[in-house]
Amino acid sequence: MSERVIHTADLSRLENNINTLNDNIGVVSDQVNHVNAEVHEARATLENLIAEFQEFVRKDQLEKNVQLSETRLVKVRQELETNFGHYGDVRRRVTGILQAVDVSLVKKETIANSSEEQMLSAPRYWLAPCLIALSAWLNDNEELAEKAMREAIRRNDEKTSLFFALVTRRGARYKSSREWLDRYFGLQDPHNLEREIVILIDGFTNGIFGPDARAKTGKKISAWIDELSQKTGFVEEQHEQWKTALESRLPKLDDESYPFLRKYSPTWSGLQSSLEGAKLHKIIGEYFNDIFQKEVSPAKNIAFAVDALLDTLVSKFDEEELPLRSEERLLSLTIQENGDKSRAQQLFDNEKTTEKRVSFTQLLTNFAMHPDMSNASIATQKFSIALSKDWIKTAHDDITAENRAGIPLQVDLSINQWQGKTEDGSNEGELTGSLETYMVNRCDEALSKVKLDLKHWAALAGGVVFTFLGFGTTFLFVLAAFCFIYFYLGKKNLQTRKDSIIAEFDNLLSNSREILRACLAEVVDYRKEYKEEDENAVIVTEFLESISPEQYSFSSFDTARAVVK
Amino acid sequence: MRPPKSYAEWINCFDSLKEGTNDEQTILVMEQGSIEWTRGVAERLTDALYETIKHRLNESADRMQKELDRSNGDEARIVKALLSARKRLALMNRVAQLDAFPENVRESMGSILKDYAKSTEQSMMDSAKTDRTGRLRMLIKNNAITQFDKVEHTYLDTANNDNASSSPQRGTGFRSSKRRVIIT
Repeated sequence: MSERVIHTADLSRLENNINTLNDNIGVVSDQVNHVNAEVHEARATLENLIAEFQEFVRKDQLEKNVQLSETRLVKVRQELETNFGHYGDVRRRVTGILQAVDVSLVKKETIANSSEEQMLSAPRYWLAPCLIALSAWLNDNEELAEKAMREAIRRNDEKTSLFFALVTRRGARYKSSREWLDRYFGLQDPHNLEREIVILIDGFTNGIFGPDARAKTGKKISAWIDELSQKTGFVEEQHEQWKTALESRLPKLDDESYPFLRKYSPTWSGLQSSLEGAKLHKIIGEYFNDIFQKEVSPAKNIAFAVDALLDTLVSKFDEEELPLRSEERLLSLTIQENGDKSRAQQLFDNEKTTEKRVSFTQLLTNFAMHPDMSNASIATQKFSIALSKDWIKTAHDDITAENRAGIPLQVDLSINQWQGKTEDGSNEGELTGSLETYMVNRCDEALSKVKLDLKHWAALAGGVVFTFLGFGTTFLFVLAAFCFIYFYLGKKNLQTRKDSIIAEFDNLLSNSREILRACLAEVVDYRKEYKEEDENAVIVTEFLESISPEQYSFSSFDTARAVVK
Repeated sequence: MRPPKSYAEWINCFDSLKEGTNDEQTILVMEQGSIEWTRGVAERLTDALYETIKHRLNESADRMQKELDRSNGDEARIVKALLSARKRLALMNRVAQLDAFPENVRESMGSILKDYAKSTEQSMMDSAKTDRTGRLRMLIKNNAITQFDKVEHTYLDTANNDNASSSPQRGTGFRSSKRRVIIT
């Protein structure tokens, strides 16, 4: 009796428990799948967020750099104005006096008095005694003129010599001009030239000096180049110098171009630098072409031309201002490069336009590539490029050869852990096949891991055992039935998981196939664009071959012909 | 040449069309081609198609200008220039209407061709205003290049238009030679 009672009670409870257990297992399994999918999604979202955050921080930093540079630039300019602003008066007076004398509108006493005042207001400044000397000269006061000149020479011999070479040339005193020019040349070392040499070259290329001085300057320039060429490693140094100068024009590839290769090709950095290098040809070609297309508009007369040079000489080349001018340039470059400080510093280092002394060939490079900073006129730019054309050509050839050697022949692709290679994007069929095989294998591998647990097999075994034993004890048939049900439900759940995995891989395959096709399309366009850009290399070479330095020195203000000796 | 299926193969076809040396065969294989219109490929292929059509239209404009300049007012030569321009447009229309491209792309390329034909015809009409006899305007009207979509099976290789009748392989479907040119 008691056995029967226990028998009935146990059965119903066991049945309920097993049903509940199965339901729970099903629910838990669904939840695990759901959580798994959510974890994948969360991970992808998190990775995107991290990337976006890093990009945000980078952009924020760049914006801050720009803002700080702008603020600092204003301060530096104010500092320049505060510390050296009073020099401005002296500078303006120089051309003011020369022009007043031209039209005879100002009394000589006024000129003398005003010059003396400037001497008092600008101590240590080389131009102040020059101004006294100039006014004394105009007043025929030889003693004072010489005294002032000696003081000016003491303060800055080079600038004073160049200043008087120009002033005497303005007054058509050819002999004095030649002597001052000789004195200036005597002070020069082609390895260590001051930046103001650009005034001399500008005077030469714009035809300001007389025939004799022009011929002499031309010979001196050739002699400097010869002297520099004798130095060991000169040619290599020139190539490097020009390579750096040309590479400073390297463009940055637009962030929007080739988005798939950017994301899915481990070779992208190589592809990017190669394409940027190939785009350089067109940029250099257009840059040189623009310079040579520009008309050199000569000044109305020699006085205007010399006044312009004097303005530049007295206002742009004072060493005292150099540290602030360097800072001003670096800040301007930081703003130009949208806050990228390292790039700005690199460009600044390459420019070498604010160094106190540089070699003649470095000056030529600066005139050609950084005319604003080196204060070179169009005529000087043309002359410098023509004079350096062989070095430019070799440097450009080197850049071209390096770029061609560096372009990746094979483009690696890595899409959702699948790896593939293509040369020109034409092997779409082969790569699609490989991708499909890879994804099928991965799917099979994932499916093979989806197996019944030990408990399911135990339930099956239990079911079989209970069935046999059930012939002796009927109750065990019920247990056997529950065991088979449990096994069946496990098997069913297994199939659901397998279906879910297959669907997931189908989705992955279709997505990967789409990415692969997009990558291959980009490779096709990339190769085409590279080829087109690379073909521009010949434009630069042909252009450089067509120019010569003799074409770019003028004699617009001379009536006499230069005699070739 | 086999029908293009991948982006690279389509680009080869477009390059061949730009060269204009083997238009008929190129278009025939393109008509049998297909492409999966997926992101990353669709935009690039549309750009390439547009570039090709633009290139050919520019060429066509230059060619027509030269032919009209050389006509020296000869009506027969003017008509010939108009008809060749129309055939060239019809050829490009076949490219623009390829089944491989989706409807919206076909529509926009078709409208580019129509706009081009319309503006060209309008500018020719404006130029013809100086002709007081009105014959030039009538010629332009009777041989309207805007009717390019009415030209059936333009298998004429426009680059070799002058030698078309001597080329046996172009015989298939070449009906434009039967067309009556109205010169009044």
